[in-house]
Amino acid sequence: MIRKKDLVLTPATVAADVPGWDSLTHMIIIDSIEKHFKVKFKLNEIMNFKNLGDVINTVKSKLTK
Amino acid sequence: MDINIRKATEADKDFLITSIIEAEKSGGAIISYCAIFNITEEALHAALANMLDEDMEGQELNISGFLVGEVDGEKAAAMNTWVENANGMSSSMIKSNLLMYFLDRQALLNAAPAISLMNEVNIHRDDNALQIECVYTAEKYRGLGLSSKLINEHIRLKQEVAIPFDKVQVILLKNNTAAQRAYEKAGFTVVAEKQCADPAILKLLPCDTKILMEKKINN
Repeated sequence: MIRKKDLVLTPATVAADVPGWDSLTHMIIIDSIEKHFKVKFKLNEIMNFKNLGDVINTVKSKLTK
Repeated sequence: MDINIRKATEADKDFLITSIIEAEKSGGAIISYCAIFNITEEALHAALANMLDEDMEGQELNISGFLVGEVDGEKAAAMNTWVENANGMSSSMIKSNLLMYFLDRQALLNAAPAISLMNEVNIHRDDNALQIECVYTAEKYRGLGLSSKLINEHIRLKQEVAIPFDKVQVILLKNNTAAQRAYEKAGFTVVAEKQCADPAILKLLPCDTKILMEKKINN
């Protein structure tokens, strides 16, 4: 996926901030998150991910249901 | 001969799917979506129908971005436009989300090598530039200037809404010389070109090189 030693991710990080986070990587990351946390995103949730914080909050909300 | 340009509606869905697929073929036999994801044309048709139903703005696989050209009441041509990154997400990212949702997930992950190859000819679309995609004219209606009329109407309509843009861009396969000539006639020039050196790209696309053409717009 993305192999960068000094990569710092914060809730405000967006795909454009991360070199190598292209459309293919994006699909693999979303798929990996779903598999790791055993959750399934809805289309409107994926479309509303503006940054990493949105992804984290959506996963958290699904895990607490 | 009566020519009418109008916004597409849900009733045009089958014609829009034909337009998307024919535009993908670009005069050849390869449908890149089918080649990349190893799916049948029927499966692609079904996935496109679902994606059009979602009508996601900011990319080409939606209904509301299309205009349809009619000749004597018959659907003859179609074209989609959007303003790139107008809502903070690139068209390629929006399209990836749609593909991920409506195609078989494993087929999609299996397609990673093919997508990497496609990235080699991927030309960056400029933010806030009007993008033209899915341009199709049925064979018997070619030569009537429908594409020019569609472009002009797209520009006129998009200038009415609040999203400002100062140029129009279109990405073509380099072997589509007829389209290139038509865009040059309409004031477009070639501003970028990308070639894939790996001959395997010809299993995914009818040509190994893409070009980006653009035209400045006076608002």
